[in-house]
Amino acid sequence: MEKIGHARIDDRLIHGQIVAAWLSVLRSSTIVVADDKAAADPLQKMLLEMACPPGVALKLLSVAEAAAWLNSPQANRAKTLVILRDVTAALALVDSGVSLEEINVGNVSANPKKTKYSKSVWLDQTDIDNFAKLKERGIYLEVRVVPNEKGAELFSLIN
Amino acid sequence: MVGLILATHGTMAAAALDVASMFLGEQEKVSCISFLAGDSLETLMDRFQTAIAELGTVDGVLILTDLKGGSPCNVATLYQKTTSNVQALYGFNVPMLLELLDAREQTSALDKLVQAALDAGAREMGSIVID
Repeated sequence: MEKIGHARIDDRLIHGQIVAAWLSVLRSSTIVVADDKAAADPLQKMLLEMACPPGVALKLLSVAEAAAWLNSPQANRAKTLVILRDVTAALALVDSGVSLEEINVGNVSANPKKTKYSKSVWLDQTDIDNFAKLKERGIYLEVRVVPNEKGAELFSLIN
Repeated sequence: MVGLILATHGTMAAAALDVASMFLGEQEKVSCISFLAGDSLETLMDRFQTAIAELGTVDGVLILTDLKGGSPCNVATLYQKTTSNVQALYGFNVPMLLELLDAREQTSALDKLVQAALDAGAREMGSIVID
């Protein structure tokens, strides 16, 4: 099956870094936001539709629906940007049978109860354990906020 | 008077207000919101709450944001959707801000102010032609 264009963990979902930076590099035709909470919230749906630029299709789906859609023949996987709110959603997507070679760790934002590992990544032990599970599945975890900067492997920042 | 909130990535909001005050003097009923690298969405939401509270009593609120789809614009959209008499704009520039600061002295009709702002924003953008 064709490789998915780009998968990113970002708790802001669709926002400036996505529309002004990533999309112009990736040239994605579809954004899949795989998020149980947003998919069930009409207000979030409206906001994401407003934020998604013209010419890019938005599919706002639960993680289970997103997994089914990504593995279906309709999906143009190479031209798809998958956005996940957190590592839990990423793990759930992978466990639902979506194969990913790499996950871009974008904004996992400031939280006083968590530890800061980069300017945009704050994690607690549960997050780290979940990321470790993704790593065990052979997925490369690249911390990178915008395309125009050098990425770093997540565990090189933690260890 | 209609209140203005300037909400942008970085410190553009405060800088734009500073520019406007060079032409029009100190302004009342204007609040600025910066969204900086590493800020969480919760922080941004808190800043919106504070900014709206700072405006005090106003006849409606216009929120000027920098980039459609950016977090300041997304939160402004949320406010427009959930609060009465709030209107969000995106892609704001200095001429638009100057126009609004002037026009809100004449009217508090949000639709008229929006039209004036968009007209000024577009009209005052161009390339210099030298004969």
